[in-house]
Amino acid sequence: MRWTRDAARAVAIACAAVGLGCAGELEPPVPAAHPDDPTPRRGGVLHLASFADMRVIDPANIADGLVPRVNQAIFAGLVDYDGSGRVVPDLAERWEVLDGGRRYRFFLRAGVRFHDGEELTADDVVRSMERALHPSAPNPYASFYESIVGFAEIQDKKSEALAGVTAEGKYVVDVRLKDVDATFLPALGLQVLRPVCKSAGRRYSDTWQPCGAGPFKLLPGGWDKGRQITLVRHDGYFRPGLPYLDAISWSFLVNTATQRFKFETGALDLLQDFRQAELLRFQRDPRWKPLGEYEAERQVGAESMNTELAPFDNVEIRRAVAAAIDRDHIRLIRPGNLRAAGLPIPPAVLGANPSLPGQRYDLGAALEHMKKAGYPYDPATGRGGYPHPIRYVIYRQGLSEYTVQLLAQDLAKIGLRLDVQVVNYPSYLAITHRRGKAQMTSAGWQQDYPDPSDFLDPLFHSRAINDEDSNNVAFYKNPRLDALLDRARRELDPPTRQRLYDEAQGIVVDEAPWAFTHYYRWYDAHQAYVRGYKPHPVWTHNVSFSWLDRGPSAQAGLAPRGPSTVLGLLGGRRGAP
Amino acid sequence: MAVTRRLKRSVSFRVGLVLVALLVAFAVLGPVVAPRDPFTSDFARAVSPDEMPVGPTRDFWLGADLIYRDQFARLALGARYSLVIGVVATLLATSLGALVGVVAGYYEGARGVRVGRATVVALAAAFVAWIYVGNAPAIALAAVAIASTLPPIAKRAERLGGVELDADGVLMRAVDVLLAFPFLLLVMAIGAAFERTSPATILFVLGVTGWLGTARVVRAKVMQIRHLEFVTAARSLGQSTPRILLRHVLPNISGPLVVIATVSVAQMILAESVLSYLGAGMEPPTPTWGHMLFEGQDAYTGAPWLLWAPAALILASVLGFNLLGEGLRDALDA
Repeated sequence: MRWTRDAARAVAIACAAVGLGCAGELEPPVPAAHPDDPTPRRGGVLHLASFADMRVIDPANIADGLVPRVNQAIFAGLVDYDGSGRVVPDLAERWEVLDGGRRYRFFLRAGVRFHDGEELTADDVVRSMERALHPSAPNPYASFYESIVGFAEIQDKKSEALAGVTAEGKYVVDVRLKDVDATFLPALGLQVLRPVCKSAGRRYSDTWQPCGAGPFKLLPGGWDKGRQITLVRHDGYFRPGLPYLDAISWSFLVNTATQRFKFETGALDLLQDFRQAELLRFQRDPRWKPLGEYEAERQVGAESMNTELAPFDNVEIRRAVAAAIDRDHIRLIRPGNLRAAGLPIPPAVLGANPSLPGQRYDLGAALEHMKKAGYPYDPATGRGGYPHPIRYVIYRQGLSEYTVQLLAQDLAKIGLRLDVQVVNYPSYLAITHRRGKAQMTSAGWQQDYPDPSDFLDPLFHSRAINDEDSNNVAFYKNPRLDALLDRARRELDPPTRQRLYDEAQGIVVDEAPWAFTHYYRWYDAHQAYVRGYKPHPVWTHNVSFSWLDRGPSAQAGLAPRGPSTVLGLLGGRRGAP
Repeated sequence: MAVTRRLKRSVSFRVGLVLVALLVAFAVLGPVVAPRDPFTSDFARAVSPDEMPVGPTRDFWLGADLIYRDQFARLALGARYSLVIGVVATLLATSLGALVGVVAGYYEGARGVRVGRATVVALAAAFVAWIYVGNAPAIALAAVAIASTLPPIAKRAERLGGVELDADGVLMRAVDVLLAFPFLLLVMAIGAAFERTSPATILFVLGVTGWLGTARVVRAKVMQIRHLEFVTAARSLGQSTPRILLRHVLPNISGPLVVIATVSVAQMILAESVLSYLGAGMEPPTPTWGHMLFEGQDAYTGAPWLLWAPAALILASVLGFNLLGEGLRDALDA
């Protein structure tokens, strides 16, 4: 039956050629060599892949989504986040909060070595901070540090030095703030201000060979742009015995089907870029289920209503929209990744309070709000409602192309009609961030640092409104909310701060500049031989301190493989990655 | 009668006709017989126990799509869009192509208008200035170009030499330039220039880009026909050029035109699908096969019907029109 074999191969080739991957039984995980032994083992290269790419590696210019994963391995910071998102010491052994919260004094570890062998001192910390906040660096996160004394001066080029950051001896750094700022420390945990080697110079340059004090280093020639990067162990890393891995390797621009097949055969060790159906299969397969876990939810999706434009200048219409959306239906678009949302701050973000009453689906209440707004609608006859179509802007081929179609169905039930306009992403940004342009749009926010301020201030504070490039895309202005957020930002007492943010969330939920629809959560699966890996609440694929426990027969790409994969059908060489 | 006999004997024609007839029947009757609305999600029946869209069942003949709507109803409505766009865009493109081809072919070799070299240079400079500098210098240069055609200046400028612009040369060089662009790139560039896409804009995009091949073929045919005796006779009897073109030339190129048009429908359907697949087609929730194919590829391993159904329809319709065209060509050429 040669022709049947040929036909099967032809189908497999067709599937592979269009990057689809054909259904079949999942391969079993490649087992750990010593599953019962918890002692970490040194050695091995951990392989990761992504469908995306990155252009530059530099803490002062984090421009692509993948960069933090690589940065986290190369650069160590004064502080970092622990497994629950709390700020913990890293290069700084400890810190003191002085002057009632206006000054932070960091005490550095002695003897920390950069990848080039130089010792890391307070001067390097000061130089790196100045370099990252100088306007010559295309730093998208610079504004997080505007409370540092001298920030405005260096940004406006009135000064070349950051006056508020000083070295007080070889191992002490002082940071002075203009005012008390409870977000300073959480924001400092990000990679933006992390110390870089002296070779980086005092000003940003995109030709610099990345060099820091993190657990892995990039050797010359280690980055084949657009294809692959390999980081090798920094033997002078300040934590004794760490890291365990010899190297970490990322491949870029690898489509999701290829990633899945490589992962199944053990040529990739972790997987996050799932297609929806694949994700559900991995989650439901009893062999793979124990090897997968959700990352913390740190992304919220919503429908943004422009509060300056009719009909959403009427709070009752906004409340009607918030009550009309059936979030369980939205979740079903990608059940493996989405969870119904009713609050602005995702539950896993430090400072979130999932017990607060959020927006929820209630068609009766939505109709009541329409009545109060002056546009009663009778679902039985289809009479009434808002008489004009509402312009809704989305970009092509994103999740919102699906959510808007369900939204349109839900809003039709309360007498609101959408006029959907699909544009490319740059046009979407230009239209939705500009004053008076779009009545309604899909919106979302992803955590930068684990703190409630990171969600509420940039999205709903009136300070975030701007004629041309507004982060507050609902153009929502509420003096009471502004005052609460300003107070919470200056409040250092955690319970008081929590109370203020709870109250702020209550206002946003009730006045509904956004109708929150879903939290997005990523799912990680790893091979059984990847040990010591746990999803981190801030850093995706933080594998710096994982270790490999692979038997000699299960080296990369040599895992036993049945005939159900495309490569098997293609008759490919066994073990080819 | 010979043509009819040859058509009946042609396997290509018969298979193509059946496929096209089935497609038309699907487009006309599908939305009528579909048990569900193509725009409404059904969360009660279309969600499988493992929270995926249900596959083909008695309720959902071709399964449900990613937001739990009836795939059959959407495909049937998509068939209407595909067919109407394919046929109307072909009519537009073929008419335009025929017009350009007939004019170019009929006037091939005729004397054109002599344009001074100064005018040509000024016009070219105006074009470059328009792209790289701005409107004001471009307008100024264009004014210089026009001025250089005025008799007193033109006479002096004549010393610089000139070029002869004839209808055939101008039209065919324009066709050459447009054909030099990759078709899909051109279609997408024009599509992207519209702020929103509707069936009308898709028709426009496909219509204005799809006539180039037709123009070339028609021109070649007209160049043969215009020297035949009946055209010479009509001309010597004093018939006007438009009348000659309409009454004597056009009927004699109808055979190739019909063949080109039939094959062109397939190309238009494919082009519309590609545009939709790439996200440059009609806006949601309008169902288009190309966009359904795009959606289906992500769900392939869990819901393969979402991929195969639109793929099969695109394949069948393109194959159908191509076979039909091939059968017609064999019958009409022989």
